Amino acid sequence: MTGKRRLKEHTRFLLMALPGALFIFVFLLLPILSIIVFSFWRTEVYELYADWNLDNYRVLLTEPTYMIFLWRSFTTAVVVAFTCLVFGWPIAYFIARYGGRYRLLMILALAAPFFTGIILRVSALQGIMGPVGAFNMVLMTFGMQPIEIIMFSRVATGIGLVYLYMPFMVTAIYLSLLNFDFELLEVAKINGARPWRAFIEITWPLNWMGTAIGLILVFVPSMAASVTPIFLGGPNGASFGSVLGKQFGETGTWAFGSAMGVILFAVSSLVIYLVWLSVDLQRSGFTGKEA
Amino acid sequence: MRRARTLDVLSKSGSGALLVLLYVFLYAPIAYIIYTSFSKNIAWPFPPQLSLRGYELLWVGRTYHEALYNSLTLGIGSAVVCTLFATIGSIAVLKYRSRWRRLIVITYLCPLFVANLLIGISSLLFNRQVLNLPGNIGSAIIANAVHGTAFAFLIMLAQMVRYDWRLDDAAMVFGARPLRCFWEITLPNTWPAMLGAFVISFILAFNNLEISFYNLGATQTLPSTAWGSLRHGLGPELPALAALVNGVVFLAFAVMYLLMRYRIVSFGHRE
Amino acid sequence: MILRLQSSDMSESVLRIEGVTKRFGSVTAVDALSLEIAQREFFALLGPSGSGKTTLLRIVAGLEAPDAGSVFINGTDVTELPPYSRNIGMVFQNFLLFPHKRVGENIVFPLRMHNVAQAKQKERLGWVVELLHLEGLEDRYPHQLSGGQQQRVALARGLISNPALLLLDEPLANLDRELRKEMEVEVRRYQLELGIPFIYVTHNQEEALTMSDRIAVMNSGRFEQVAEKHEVYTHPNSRFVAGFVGHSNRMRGALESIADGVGSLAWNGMSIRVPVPPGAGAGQSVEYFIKCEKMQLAGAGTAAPEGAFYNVIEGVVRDVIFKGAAADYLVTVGNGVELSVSDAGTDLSFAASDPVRLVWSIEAGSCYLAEDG
Repeated sequence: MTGKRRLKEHTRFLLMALPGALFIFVFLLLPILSIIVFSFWRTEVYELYADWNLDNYRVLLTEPTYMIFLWRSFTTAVVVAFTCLVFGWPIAYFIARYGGRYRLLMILALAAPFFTGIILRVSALQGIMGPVGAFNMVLMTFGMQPIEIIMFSRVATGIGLVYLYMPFMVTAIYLSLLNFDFELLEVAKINGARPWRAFIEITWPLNWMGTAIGLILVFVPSMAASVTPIFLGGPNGASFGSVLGKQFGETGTWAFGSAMGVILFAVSSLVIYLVWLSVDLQRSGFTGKEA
Repeated sequence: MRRARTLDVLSKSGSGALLVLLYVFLYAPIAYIIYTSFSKNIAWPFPPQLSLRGYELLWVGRTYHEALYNSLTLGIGSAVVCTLFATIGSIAVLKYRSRWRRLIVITYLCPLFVANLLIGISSLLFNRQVLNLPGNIGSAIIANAVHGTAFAFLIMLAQMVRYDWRLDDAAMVFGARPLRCFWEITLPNTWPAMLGAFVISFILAFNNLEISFYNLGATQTLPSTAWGSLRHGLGPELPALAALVNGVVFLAFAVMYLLMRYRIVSFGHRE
Repeated sequence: MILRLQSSDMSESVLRIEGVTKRFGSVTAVDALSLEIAQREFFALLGPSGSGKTTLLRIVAGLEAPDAGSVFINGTDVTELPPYSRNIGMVFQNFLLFPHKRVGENIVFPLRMHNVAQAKQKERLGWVVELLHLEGLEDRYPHQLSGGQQQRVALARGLISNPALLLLDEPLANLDRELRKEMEVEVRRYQLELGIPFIYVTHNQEEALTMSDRIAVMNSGRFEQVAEKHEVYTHPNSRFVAGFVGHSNRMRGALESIADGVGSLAWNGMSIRVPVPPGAGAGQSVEYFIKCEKMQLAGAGTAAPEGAFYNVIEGVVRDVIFKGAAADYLVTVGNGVELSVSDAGTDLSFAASDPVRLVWSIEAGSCYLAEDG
């Protein structure tokens, strides 16, 4: 008889789960810890000095411009996340329910635009929505006024962000619906629930966790958006993210940039925490393990 | 009864129409890019004037060949790392009991909740100050893979939650060693999930700007070339290259559609 | 390795487990169990869900590692061996056929895993397909088969490699009643034909009684009784077994008096004669179980057997449940309690609201000390 000594289940779990977890710990969590440290340092001529101080935070919290940028990014992100939610739900539902064997293809078709870089796509959006863009050109050809609100404005930035991150929302809800038992809806209907009632009582709560993940997946990059506002936002479009990016580009003020990063991280984490509080694992249908 | 039926049809066709609108919205800029790739003037493409100059320049230009090669390396490198970590990680979480399970799931998912920009700058500073690593394709692959692993993990978890792991038990009882069991039973039933994870993590890294930009050093990829060329106006080669990439993608979709249409490969869908 | 391993140690038992224990967190699923199963034996593990029977089976298969104790197959200690080195066959609940493999591929899977030569694989496949009447189904996929056919394929896969023993984990639970009856007989026939021990896990007492030679009744991770099936049925050795095996009427009350090993149980205003459980004294609370078919129904006023070894009580038929081969009578006795009597006669001698007399020998039932409280 051959056969090696069996490994304990727990050992097996750790052997398989730990490499990836360690990878993420070393290359994500440690870097974030390090910028928290650097945010209390000082930069001089593209070099960091361990000269502990609170100046970066003092400037950030007292100079109104930064707080305005932060507030602007935050509100844009909230609006974008909810827009994606409203439009994303029926779309994801349609794919999961009626997509049949083409479901995977339908979802991949949402991801495929990412094969084209963000800059090309956003500048193409600019080309479509801008003052001499295709959209307004058509309007003017028919003797109508061009729609000004979609040129170089926060609305334009918002449309751009919805454009970029809507696929995340749809995919998150779709993945959740994939494991949802649609027969439960029939049970609800037989017990007298009208379609809307069945949705609110059954579908929505059981898929709230996937929806919450979708909201976060849209909110987080929208809040940190830097490229889109530069292209579509016009002269007043500067966002917290684009100013943050500048600290690591032209100006090279890394310590200050780190502090901005920490604030961005803190705000996003707070929002994630608030969303997470609303997820009741017992009632989300997530039991951790099937059967 | 009739009203309910009408409502059903309405909501189905309504949401279907929304999906079509979303596709139009998503692909309009792509169509626009393809259109401009054939235009004489990229910035002012109206009225249409056809030209293949972009494609000619692309054919001879070394810069873009290199950028495409680097982007492909970055995409494939990151996708391999992501799929590997996500596969073994999600199998561990789904198959084995452990009180550490929740902690592991949270760790795998937390990159989803950190913006690209933050991953970019924090790994730039960490690599530079702590590890003393210069920016190059390797550090860009690592930084992108952190982000992609979370996506790959989420996708695999959602698709494999319904896989019956007792099939593996059955295989083991009938004499299959762990690797054989993976090859004969687990893989044939879960490869669509792995393929999905691979494709998504490839896409995310291939054209990533915000993570790669801070970690690439002097290496040029497609998006960083685009970013660089913005200062003196977008070159005509970029839309041409994007049009070609999209051509390949559409071709792949067409093949996939035909495979599904004639039920040659179901990609994990069960009737 | 396909041929059964001949161990040098000529112990008779094919399977021997010693002091096997398995805990999941604070729950002890299997509690220090020992057992021996001999060649040619059909052994049933019977118990309610959560009693630990499936866990015990999985430990034997090697799918679960015990926290303590050892497992021997043909005298070899296999406790530390992984499932793929144990040479056992198994039939799973829900069949667990590989959905992406054809029936033939599913069946020869164990042979391929053991690198058996192609020609030999073919020969064995032919043998098992004939044994289980699966001719012509080899090229189908599992989802194209009926439940009964899937069941046969699962059995074929379990038997093809000529295993030392076959483990069956509630294999008939998902079949409809008719098919189950048919399969019960067939499974038993295969076991007799092949002569290897079958270990059969079930929560269905009829299955256990129909097929097995010996039954172990499990409860909370322990064996309540391990014995020949007849013995388990007629002489349950604990309250749990008496309540779980067969359909019984349960009477609970205090022992009023004891004379010559016969006690008198106060139950709903009546006095029931019961055998006195060991260690019980007057005034103690006991529980008496009498199987429905052990009671006899007679017309009111007919002569009843005299003597201290019979119970005779009067009642009124409330309802008759005709089941074809037998009929159940629900009889109201004493102050309104109901007893159930099963009668093999199908002539339906009594109808609802007929006054009747229930008669049974006290030795036909069994009596235990009641649990406190």
